[in-house]
Amino acid sequence: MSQTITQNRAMFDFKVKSRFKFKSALGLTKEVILQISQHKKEPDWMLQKRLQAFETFQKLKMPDWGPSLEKLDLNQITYFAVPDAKHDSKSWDEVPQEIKTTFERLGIPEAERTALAGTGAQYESLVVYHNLKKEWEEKGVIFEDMDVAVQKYPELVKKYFMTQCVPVNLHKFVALHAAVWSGGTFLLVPKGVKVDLPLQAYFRMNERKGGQFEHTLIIVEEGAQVHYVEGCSAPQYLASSLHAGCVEIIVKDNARVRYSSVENWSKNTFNLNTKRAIVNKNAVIEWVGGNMGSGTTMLYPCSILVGENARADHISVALAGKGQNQDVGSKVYHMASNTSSTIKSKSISMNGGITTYRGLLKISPNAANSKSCVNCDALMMDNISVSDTVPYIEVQNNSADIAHEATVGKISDEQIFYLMSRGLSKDQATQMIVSGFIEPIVKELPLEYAVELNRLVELEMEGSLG
Amino acid sequence: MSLNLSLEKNEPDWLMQDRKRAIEQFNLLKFPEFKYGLSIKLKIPEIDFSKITPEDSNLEIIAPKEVKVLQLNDSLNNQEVQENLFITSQITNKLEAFHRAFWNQGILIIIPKGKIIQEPIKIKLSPTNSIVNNVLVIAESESQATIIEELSEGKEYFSNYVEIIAQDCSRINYFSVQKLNKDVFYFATKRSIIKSSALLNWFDFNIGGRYIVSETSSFLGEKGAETNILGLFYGSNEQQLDIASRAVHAAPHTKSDMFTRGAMNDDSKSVYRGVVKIQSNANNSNGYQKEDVILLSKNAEANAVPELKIDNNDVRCTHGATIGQIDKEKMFYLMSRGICESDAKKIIVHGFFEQVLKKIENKDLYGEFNKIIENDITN
Repeated sequence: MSQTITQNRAMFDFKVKSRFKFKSALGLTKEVILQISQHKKEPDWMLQKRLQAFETFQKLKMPDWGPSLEKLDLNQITYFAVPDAKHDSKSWDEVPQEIKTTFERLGIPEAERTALAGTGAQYESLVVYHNLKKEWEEKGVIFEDMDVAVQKYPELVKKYFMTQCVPVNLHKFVALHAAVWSGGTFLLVPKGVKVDLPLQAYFRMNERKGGQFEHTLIIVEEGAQVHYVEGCSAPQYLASSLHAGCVEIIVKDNARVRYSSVENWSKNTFNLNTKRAIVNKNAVIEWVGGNMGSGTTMLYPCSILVGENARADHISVALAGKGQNQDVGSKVYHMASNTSSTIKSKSISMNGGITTYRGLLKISPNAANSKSCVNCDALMMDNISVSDTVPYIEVQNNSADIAHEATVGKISDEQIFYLMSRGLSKDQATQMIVSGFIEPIVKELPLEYAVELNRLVELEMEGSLG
Repeated sequence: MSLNLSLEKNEPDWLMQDRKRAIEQFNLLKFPEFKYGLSIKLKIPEIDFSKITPEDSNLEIIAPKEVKVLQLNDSLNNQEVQENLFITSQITNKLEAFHRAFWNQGILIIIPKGKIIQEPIKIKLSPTNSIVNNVLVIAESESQATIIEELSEGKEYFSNYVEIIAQDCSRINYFSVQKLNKDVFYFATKRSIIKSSALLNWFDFNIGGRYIVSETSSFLGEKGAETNILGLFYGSNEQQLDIASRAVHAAPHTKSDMFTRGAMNDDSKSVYRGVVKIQSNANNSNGYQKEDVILLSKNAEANAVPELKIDNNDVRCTHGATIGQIDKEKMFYLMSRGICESDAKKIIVHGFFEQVLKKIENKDLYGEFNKIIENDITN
């Protein structure tokens, strides 16, 4: 089957002129860390944590597996920049015009209008727009910029920030993140509170060679429920950019969290993100993810099921076009009895793109009666693309039930023929089949994200005739 | 074991060069860690190779007259041996380097062009010392044969390298039954090159040995080549099993199907690694991979790494892996019929293996395997 599919990233590869209040020098030194900490007027314990992390970072080695990170020059990155906007403005009018233009093209105000519970939008390293509906404030939900949270809720942050969920020495890029993190979201849902509208933060990286190191910390107390949505998009530049964010989710007994994200960084970005959840007794974590952009992605959301009857659901879709390497997957550690997990992964590779599912499933000796089901499907659009599946399955308990399944294939000529015989063009037919392929994942996203994801896939696949 | 020792034998130059290169590699390479992914690790201790001295051991072979069987050591000047011996080997591993540097015996089997050999060719090896053995099979075009390899006894180290060159339109079955003593380190490499429209069926059965490192691989080099890789393993006591199957599709219209089942008992531990690699020129290829393991005891451990590496979109590939336990209902049913627990377990394992066994289209062999399962699988 021959087809011409060209990708169109122009929609997201735009840039508006930025003004900066402050920008650190290129590269990472102790001085840069001191500057960041000073600028944020952080308490001493946080500074010490950063400095310790910096030491760990220098000691740790680069990963010796997965996609090549040779082109990533850690000395050519700005680790901290502050845009010239009034910090944390709550009204849309206060946001500078240039920044507004960027947000408008990404559809943020519309999303706001569709009655979302709150919006924290990150422009560079500062949250410039943050709005939380009064309703939730009354119930005690804390939805705050991470920088502010350090000042306002030091005890909570001290207790949970990179202590139990993601330890600083987990890997090199976590250590880097801990040293230079800036911005992000702090979300705490108190005991028994059910937040029924999704909370969302839209991140955006706009400085040339900009690094984005936002930290998301979500704590959901006993019996509480929340759906948190995060989206990312960045314009295209020539020099390599790095995104090394960190997401920590603590799901307490009987609580339920859904974390959805659409990541669409520009193609010269290295997206080396770390996401982890600790799931306690009877609690549920659901990860819904879409990876469309970035040149190289290494992202493996991880669930650690520590309580009995805990459950993890991972669903994700990855799309790799020309020059892209999407190395994604899921990790689940079953550490307690009667825990269960499902992983559903779909990937599309085209125009020489590489998609890899790299997963880990571990059943520890004390995880009796655990169940897990892994399902990976890959769709290949042409002959120059690559699709790999590398799942690691470790079972140390004999009462476990594990099933893994993967398929790789192409769009069948018969399906195309059928649709074309019904009057669709070849491009339309292909797009329709691809939409159907990722539908099980798209339907799990909130409406506006589902629309956006579908639109993105469509744009990525747009035929040469348009 | 010294370099001189093996070069004393007055061997042809090409082989001496090959051994020399292998010794260089052997000295450079580290003993493998048997570590996969983040935390899969087999407990296989490092071998002190200086203490291993492979000796010649009696190799029993029963073959019909039409088949040409020669001692490898006597046919080193044979053009075909020179061209094909170790053609499938790229030394990436210390154990393989050791094999290539210090192999001391082997046989060459040539199945002549167009000959259909009905009676199976039987190879029996029951050494009482360490051995480093080669089996080189050249199946000439349009030939057909079944080869059964039976490995028993053994001491310390057992290294076996089977190489099959399946020429155009040949159909070869190679069945291997490994029931070595329970203290032997078994290192097996089975590799093949499959030419146009040829079919190679592998069957790898592992029940003996202490440490089992076994790789079975097929290189589908020409159009229409096909391979089936079947495997069964049973782990008991503290056995450590590293089982790998590999199919490389390097030509259009090629097909591979892998199916392995295992049962793990006592404190045994296994890793199954399956790889289907489809190269970019292998249009219209199909690759299937399936692995199931049942865990029979609390301390047994099973790991799986089923990989797909696909560089062509005009293919159909799937893989599946399951790891589970004996169905309690089935156990209850059997025990309610008056069968004791250990017998019930045996029956279930037998039934589980049956799915693979029945794919072997050879009645004698089928019966033999059943006997082995019956006798060797206890508690």
